[in-house]
Amino acid sequence: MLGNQASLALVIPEAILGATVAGVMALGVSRAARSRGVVAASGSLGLLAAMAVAAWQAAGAHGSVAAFHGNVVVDAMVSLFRLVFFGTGLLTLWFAYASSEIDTRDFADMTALVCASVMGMSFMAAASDLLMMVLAMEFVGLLSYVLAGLKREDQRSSEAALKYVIYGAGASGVALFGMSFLYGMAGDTSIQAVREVLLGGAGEGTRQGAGFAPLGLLAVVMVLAGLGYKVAAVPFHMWCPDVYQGAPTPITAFFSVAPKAAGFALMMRFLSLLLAGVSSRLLSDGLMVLIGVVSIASMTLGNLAALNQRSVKRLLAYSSIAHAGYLLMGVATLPALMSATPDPSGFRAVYFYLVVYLFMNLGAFFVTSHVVTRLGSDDLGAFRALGQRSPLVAGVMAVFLISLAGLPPTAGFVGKFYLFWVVLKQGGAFYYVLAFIGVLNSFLSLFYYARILKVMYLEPSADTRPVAAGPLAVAVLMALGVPTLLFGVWFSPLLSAAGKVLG
Amino acid sequence: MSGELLAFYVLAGAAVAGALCVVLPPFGRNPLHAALALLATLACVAGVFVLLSAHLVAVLQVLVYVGAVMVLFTFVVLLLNLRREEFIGARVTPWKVAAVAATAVFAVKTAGAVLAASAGARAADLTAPGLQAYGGIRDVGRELVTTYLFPFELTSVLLLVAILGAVLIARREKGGAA
Repeated sequence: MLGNQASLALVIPEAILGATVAGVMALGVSRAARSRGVVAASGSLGLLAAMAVAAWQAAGAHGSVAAFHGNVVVDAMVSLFRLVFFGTGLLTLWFAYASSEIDTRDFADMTALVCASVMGMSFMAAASDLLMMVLAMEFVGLLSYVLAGLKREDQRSSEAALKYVIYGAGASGVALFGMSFLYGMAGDTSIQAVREVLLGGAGEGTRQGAGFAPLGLLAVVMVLAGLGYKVAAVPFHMWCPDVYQGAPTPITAFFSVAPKAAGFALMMRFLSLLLAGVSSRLLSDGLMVLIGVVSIASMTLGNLAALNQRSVKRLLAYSSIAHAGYLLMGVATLPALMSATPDPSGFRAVYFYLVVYLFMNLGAFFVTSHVVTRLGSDDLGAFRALGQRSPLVAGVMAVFLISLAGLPPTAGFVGKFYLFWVVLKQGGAFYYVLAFIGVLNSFLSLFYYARILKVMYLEPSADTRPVAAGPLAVAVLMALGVPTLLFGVWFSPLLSAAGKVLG
Repeated sequence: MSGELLAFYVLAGAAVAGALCVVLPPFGRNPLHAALALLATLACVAGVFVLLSAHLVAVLQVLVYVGAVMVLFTFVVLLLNLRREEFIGARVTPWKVAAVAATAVFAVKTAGAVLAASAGARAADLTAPGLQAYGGIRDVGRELVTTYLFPFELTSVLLLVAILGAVLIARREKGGAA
């Protein structure tokens, strides 16, 4: 376990982001803030530098290091998630730069908030102490509320922010309540210490691990409820469509990927630290069924609700709820991690899918943001005849939608295949049912993704003027579209990266 | 029953009663009364902290929650000038009945789990050497700048960006009505 000074080198990416936040804030009060370019460039520079260091650390990582007196743990998983968070932040910055929805006056502050938010997320992936978990979650939550309410003059945006705050406060309260039980069991905020109590080895001498299993299950369920809010899983999804619709589109894109990935990172970190090797039937069966049922509910409800949406932002919000459900299937393989020979392959599939999801979902949102900026609406009608009016944008959107639906030859297919394969590999009737419902849901989701395709290519529009796409838009589309296709056929680098998660 | 246990039950009971008063009629109908009931709860929780030998936390609870946060709550209630009518939602609906039933089941399950986990637990002996100053400013302060230095510093960053966020939300457009 490293002390404070010795740990500093491990958080260089976050330190760079902290400096970026300070720098952008300073820019924000100077005359330079009148130019979006200067702010976007300095923010991008900070994020790129942080990503470079994180990539370098990910390549050289061996084993996990408990840093800052055990408050955080730094391993390959942290570095890999850093790339996801920082990359999402970077792309969000470019979306916002190209979007008309973010006022230039707010652009510097928004940049600072996005950078600070992704910094908090990387601590969510690294937290190995209950205190640190709460702090990182609240860090990200607080900044998300502000970002959701960025369009102050828009009533829907303010409503979204308020809903987000109230749901967030409730969810944090439940999670904290659960953590207070965990603390009470061990008398220590370290997750490792709680695990030892559950194992029955340590604790107050005579007490046995079995007596703690019911309370442990209860506490973990409560913490998962708080995290379920972060990843927008049913039944904690109520805020999601309203917030996604009300927030500015680039921020919605950010919300749909980054906090969700951070929620899954924290969930995986927490569960693996707390339950690895804990052989309790009550805990493993209880959590498997619970997470599985939440997963089924999320994908089914998300997909059914998405079928009838006219607003593309709202449609993608429900689709993101469904994707949280697919991802939870991977987390439901928890019993494999709790066995005597811990097998984290389910969690690796989750990471794999999250990276794929980053590209395809951000891409779909970027096209939506582009349409909102050019045509002033995110209604399905605005997408009419986009295939003729802007063949490139519509073509790339088609790739993103096919990938979201999970069809070959895109990355979405490989991600889903890996996820289903890991679930089936667990064996047992429950997992077969889970995977079967997952496949059924993938078919269901085809309907609404195909509806957007149909509107773009088959429905005529009164307005046939071409929709221009600037060089930045084309660059971003390529940066998102090419990996979505490429990872569909050449996925071994991503697979080996995912293999380092909890390795 | 020892004096300490008696004090705990009195304080804990009063804290729960105060919390119920916040949301239940007749107190809950009036926002200001609800805020005062919350005050009672927070003060009783400060007392529970004293029983846990967490002296510093107890003092902070009084200073921050009973003091500053409650003043803020009362201020907001008065500023918004909430009337009783706007606050009533006391109709009994099937959903509410289901929620109360679910809460009751949850409470019973929680109580059972806590009892099972605390069977055979021993109280920590605070008269043992090295633990006399437990919960005091010196011990808590030392932990804060050694073991928990990192979360402590991260909190300061959080406060900084929270201020930025508050300014961003509160900023009005020049000459605009928004």
